[in-house]
Amino acid sequence: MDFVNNLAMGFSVALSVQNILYCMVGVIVGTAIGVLPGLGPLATIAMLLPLTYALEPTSALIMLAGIYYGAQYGGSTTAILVNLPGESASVVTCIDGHEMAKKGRAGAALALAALGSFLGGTVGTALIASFAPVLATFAFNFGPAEYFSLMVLGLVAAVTLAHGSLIKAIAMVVLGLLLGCIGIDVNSGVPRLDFGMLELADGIEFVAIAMGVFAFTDIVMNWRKEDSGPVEAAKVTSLMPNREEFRKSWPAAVRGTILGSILGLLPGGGATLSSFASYSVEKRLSRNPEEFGRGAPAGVAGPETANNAGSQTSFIPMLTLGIPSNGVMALMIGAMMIHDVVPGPQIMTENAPLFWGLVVSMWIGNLMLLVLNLPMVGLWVRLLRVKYDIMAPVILIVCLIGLFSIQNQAFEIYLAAIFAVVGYLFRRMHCEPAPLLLGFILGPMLEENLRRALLLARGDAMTFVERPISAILLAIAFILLALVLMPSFRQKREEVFAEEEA
Amino acid sequence: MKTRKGNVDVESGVFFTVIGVIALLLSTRYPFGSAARMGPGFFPVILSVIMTGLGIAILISGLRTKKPVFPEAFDMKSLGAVTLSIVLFGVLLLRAGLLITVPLSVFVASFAQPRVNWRKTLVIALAITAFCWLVFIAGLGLRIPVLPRI
Repeated sequence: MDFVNNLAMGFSVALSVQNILYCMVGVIVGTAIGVLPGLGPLATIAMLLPLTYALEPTSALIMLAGIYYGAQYGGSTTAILVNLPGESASVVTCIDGHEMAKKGRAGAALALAALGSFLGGTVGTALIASFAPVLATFAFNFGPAEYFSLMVLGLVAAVTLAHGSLIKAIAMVVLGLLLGCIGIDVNSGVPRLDFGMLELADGIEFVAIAMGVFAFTDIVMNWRKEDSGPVEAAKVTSLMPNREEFRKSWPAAVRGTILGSILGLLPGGGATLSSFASYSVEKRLSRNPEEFGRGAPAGVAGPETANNAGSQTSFIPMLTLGIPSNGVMALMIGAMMIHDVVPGPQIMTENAPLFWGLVVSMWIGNLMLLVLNLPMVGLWVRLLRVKYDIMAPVILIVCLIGLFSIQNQAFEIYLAAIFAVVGYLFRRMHCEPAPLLLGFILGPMLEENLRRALLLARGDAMTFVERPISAILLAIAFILLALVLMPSFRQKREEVFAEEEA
Repeated sequence: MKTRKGNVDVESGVFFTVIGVIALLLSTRYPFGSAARMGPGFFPVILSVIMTGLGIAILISGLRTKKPVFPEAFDMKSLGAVTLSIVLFGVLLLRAGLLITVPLSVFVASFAQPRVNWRKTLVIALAITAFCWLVFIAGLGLRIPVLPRI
């Protein structure tokens, strides 16, 4: 019984006092930033990354993962109570969640969201535990050609599912790949594109990019807005959903779990996509769709379940294949590399305690969120009173100290300053920065696998289509691109994302 | 209100094209090698060519569109304040130490707001400085100079 042994190992790692503590810190910080508008998981994880350098890798990853899924819980709280999505995955929860709150059913909506999230998180975690080893065994047969095609598929899927213009997203990926070339070429030892700077020999510090384009650009974008004054939060009375609400919610939660789990697996998927997909599915399947937008419990339970399931299962391709499906996963890969843990199929054997400890900790973290958060709703709502003019300088300074402490030098700070300006330009030009990070993380691996595949094939590029698995992966990537470029689909895609931005 | 002008696609098209061309010029200095034996220049050259092509395509689609998307007004003040604060932090930290650098950076960054309440900014700056000292120096023991080097 390998599976049981593995889970037992996971529990023994995750239940150590230290790891429970970091898990708790992670989910609490996650909930907090989920509540606070203007601070998302990407910026937070970038901000805290340097501080995790000193930690043991398992604890560091447990904490960072906790921030990611914890943010989903926090985001739904503010969505329901104040009609303010603290996090992009909870945008749809606002629609029906806040309507329920207006009808005096705030407590019920919160409970449905929390229970749904727990269900999604539990199933998602179980899926990681059972599915990841299978995928890893499969991936062991991958040669460099297969890996190259897999990464191409990953990047293509990530951009087709990202919002905004497709061609700009592809350009951002390529820019990320180019930035990844900077530094000494591992094969020839030639320093490339380094502008003669010795500090760039090891490549650009990815924390500097992440902080620049996410944290610092966010500060520039948000701080100049006028303060909108205190927020009104709905009163929470009873936390128990009534029978009617339960009856309407549970099928939505089950469907949300399935939908979220599948979408989370896809590169480019994850929490946000899952919640939007679930909402539209529930609306379409409902016998009285006119209820949606007027406080339908299914419109809360479905998306909330889906986003948590999706955020869990998006760990599967990241851990077993080393392919990040979204920006947060790209940061997680960066965090692992800092600790010399290489994500990929070998992680199950080489870093078994880390892998299983992380998986089990996610389930424990979800349990903590359920137990901690419902009674503490009032406390979280009070966090909303924290003004951005206090938050912004705190974020700024913590980031700066983190950047400095990476190498105990100012160089990374200057790099981040450049990326803050570049990040601002990206926002102005409506270019999503997340694909850039994916390209940057995958760049060196993509080049290395391309080099090896071509070396083995003596320079014949046909190797990528002659090997069956590689051919299938490339074909899927091609079909995805073709689909998106088709006029009817293109229009639909733009509609979906226009809805999202509204 | 000023009239809104510009076009996000034209701007980003120019941006990607310029970056692509610069990268291409820089990458061609490295040995290209062959497909079977990729040199250090192989991958960057291919990427720069793709990047330039994409940039030109975005530019053309931006020029041909009838409904251009206007970019937001360039907020030089906010961007400048935050960027200057970051650079200032980098320049000062090793020389002047944490207790001087942190409040100065907060002060400079505060100009990013539309209106600044100076008394409040002072309180926030001092509070953050105390917080940083407690967490990073006393707590985590990071090797950051606290006071100026004399």
